[in-house]
Amino acid sequence: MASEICDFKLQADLTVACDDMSNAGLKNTGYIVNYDDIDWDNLVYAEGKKNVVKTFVLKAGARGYKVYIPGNTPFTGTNKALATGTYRNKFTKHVAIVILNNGADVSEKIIDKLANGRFVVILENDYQGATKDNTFEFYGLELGCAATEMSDDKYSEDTDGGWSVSLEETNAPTSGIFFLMDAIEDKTAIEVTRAALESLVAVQETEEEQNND
Amino acid sequence: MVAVSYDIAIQRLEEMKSRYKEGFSSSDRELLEALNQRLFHKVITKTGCSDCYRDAYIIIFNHLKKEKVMPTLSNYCLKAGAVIHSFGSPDFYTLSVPDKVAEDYLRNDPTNIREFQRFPSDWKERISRTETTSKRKVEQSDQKEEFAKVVTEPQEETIVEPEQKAKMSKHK
Repeated sequence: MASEICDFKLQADLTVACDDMSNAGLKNTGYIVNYDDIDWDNLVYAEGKKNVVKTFVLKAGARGYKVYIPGNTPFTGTNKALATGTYRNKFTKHVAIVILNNGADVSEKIIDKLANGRFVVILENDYQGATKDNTFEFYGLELGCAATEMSDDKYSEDTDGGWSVSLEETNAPTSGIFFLMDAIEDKTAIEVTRAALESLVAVQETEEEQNND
Repeated sequence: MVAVSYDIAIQRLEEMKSRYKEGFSSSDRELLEALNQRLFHKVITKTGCSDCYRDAYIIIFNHLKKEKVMPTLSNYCLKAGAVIHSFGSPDFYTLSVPDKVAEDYLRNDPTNIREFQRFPSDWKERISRTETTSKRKVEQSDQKEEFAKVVTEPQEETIVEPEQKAKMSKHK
């Protein structure tokens, strides 16, 4: 069995990009997909990058869903933190979602599933970075996000009687995994990536449905 | 998804005109949602617009009147998240892909079929057929170019004797 000494040495200066300072926050819309719906055989990382995905595809017939949270600080509580281990340190990635809705449909189609499933969430950072590869970030791509806290406080002024949900990926080996597809001709990488994300959540018509016309 | 033909959709949308100001009924909304999914592969999100169903009504009605047909299901459909484009073209495609674009893409690398969730069972024959057709076209255009060269390019000057000239014109 091959063995080697792992290289944990720094590879870049810890400086500030003075002409492109980072800023905090997330955009209002995110995307969530079922972990088991991901076509892992078609997951492709960008050449020479261990943490930038350039192809993220779902299995045939599967689709993802949008997560929209209004307000100036959507997904408040979302964070990443170091998880110290005995031999190796990892990361805990936490996604905070509020569902400002309730009722039978929400309960059956969303809450019950979130409580028991495993998911991958893609959120859009306000800060895109100089090369734009900071724009879309995965939570749960390695081990999947699972619910750690869910509550429906009927008198909550924050959720107005809706649900508050915490999803967490524990012990993720990588601190951040980003999504940026290749640019196509005059279309930027961000435009192409955004189109791919929209196709993730598109409603697909089956042949059977069309034959019913 | 509710399946509706083009004529029925237009008829229902015309009827809904009278309810545009006072508000659509629940069955009107159901139809708009179905049509929005069918035409644009999107659900009507009730966020960020003052009256999403009225907006959707206008967009759907205008689209159908312009297109005059309900969209047909494409032969090739990509998996959600996959993006392809034809070489040299700025256009790229997600989900539904025109036959020609899909077959060109597959001809370049047939293993790309893994990116499709729906494709004709005879896709291999289709791409080899189009390959043969395009090869033939290339050959034909090569021949044309060759012919054009012969006709237009100045040939090496040869001295033709009057006797020979008379023979050549006979062959014509």
